[in-house]
Amino acid sequence: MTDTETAQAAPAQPDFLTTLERLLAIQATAVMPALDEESTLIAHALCADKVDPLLYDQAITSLVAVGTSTTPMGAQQHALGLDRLPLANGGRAVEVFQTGVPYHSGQVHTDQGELLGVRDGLGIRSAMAVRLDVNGAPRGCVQVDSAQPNHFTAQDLAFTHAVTHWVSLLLQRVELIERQQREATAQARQLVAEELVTVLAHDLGNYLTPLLGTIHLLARRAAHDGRTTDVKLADQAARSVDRLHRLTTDLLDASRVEQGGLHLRPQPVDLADLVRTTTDDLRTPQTTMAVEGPDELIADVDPDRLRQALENLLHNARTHAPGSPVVVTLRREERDAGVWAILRVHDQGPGIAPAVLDTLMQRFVRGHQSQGLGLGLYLAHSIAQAHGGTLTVESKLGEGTTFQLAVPVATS
Amino acid sequence: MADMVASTDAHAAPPLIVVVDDDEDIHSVLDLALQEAGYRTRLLGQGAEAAPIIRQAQPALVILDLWMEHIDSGVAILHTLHADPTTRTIPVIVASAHPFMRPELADLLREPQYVFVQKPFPLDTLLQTIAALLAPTTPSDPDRAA
Repeated sequence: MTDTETAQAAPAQPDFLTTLERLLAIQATAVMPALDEESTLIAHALCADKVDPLLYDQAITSLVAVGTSTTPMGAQQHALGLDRLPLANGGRAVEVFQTGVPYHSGQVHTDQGELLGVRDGLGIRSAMAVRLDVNGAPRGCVQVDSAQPNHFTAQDLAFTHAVTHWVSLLLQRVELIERQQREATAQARQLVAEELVTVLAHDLGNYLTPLLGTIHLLARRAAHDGRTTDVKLADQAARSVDRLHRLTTDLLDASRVEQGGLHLRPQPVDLADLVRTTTDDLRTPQTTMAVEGPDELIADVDPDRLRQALENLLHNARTHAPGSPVVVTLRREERDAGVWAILRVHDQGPGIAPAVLDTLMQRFVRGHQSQGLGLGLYLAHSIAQAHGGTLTVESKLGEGTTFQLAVPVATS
Repeated sequence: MADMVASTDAHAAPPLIVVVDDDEDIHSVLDLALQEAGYRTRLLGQGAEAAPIIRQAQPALVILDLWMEHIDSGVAILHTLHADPTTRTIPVIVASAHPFMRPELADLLREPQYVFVQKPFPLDTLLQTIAALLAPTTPSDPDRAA
């Protein structure tokens, strides 16, 4: 013990080692109980009247006592509302938090730098405060108080430093555990949700099969008998079933993207053929669709997913630029990182407002003519990303819109 | 729309198609559609009984649901049919609404006589797939030459 003015406190000191052993035995599963237990142990070890781990709360820009020791001074502090220290009010604890310089005084009652409420309201005479850093970032401070003057020694301060460091590790561990628990819960929920969506998609697909089959059967019979109105009605019903099916598969795919991405089954595919056949399927009497590009462009991609992405882009053009001719172009492009396939879908529709462009590829963003859930472009974008590619959009109001899907074909 | 002609030989019995699915509505619509297209049908609702009946009936083709009593009932049936020399060459259309393709199923589906069709399927697609699987394998395709 080097500080002569604090020598009188020596006889009351319990064994630090025993206290440390007890501190280390605290079960770090939740922040609050652990800090309460730790504060009470330190108060006992230092014969202090109060120990506060104070954590910074950004929402109220204050230091908040999170584990006050169960001592009479601790209770009084709470009663006076001094367990919240706004940074704006200053005071030694705030100063320690902001500067990182420890505070140690045996004459707090004469310290003009301390808050009046702390000095007079709680009757604190001796105090120590050490900043609490977690993962290198200031998170608060640990303050130890006594109503006795000259109560704490330099050794006590060193002990407080050590304990604060331990509190920092404790917080780190507890927060890690809490985060892991939250993540495990979220993951479990996601798994259940994924299973539900999968079962739902399966069952809906099963229910739709006889419905679609019956409609097609009726259409065939109507066609056979020359009942053209009935054929039209049946086709209309079949399109509705198709939309309902797309909706469920889109929901499922969106859920899979959220679970950690789409699982691709890449294989050598002739993109030129894929573009031609997909466009042929989506062409309607109202919307002409021209295809420009090479006769063949082989790429290692997931054909089902790329077809889905192109379908979504063509659906989008058909819906938002009705009657406008659509031009689909495919070309090879040499880039620094290798060869890419560039697929563009251009329409001459009304274009997209600049304000909408930024959020266009987010989930559940729909234009006013959309019939789906607002997942088509989100999924097309996710499919491009899963291939290591991009989906970008250019649009001018009154002139039209171009979506560009770019995927690497091979690396050089 | 032209009517489907399942068999070119007027004297031969129409080809038999076995439908294995636990959904009665799917049974009835496929029964009607297949018969109207000129096929004979046999409908099975239980996965467990399917393989022995198929072996005994030797149909021209099987339409097989995947998820019946169990999630992989259909996969087990396909394995059994594939492992048995008397049923291995029978064409099978695997029809499923299940969105995930199991890896071992993907391996089996590399066999040319097995085709996967996602439910719900357009009836025309199913009938065209059946026609393609039942078509003789050797003759040249005049449409291709055009």
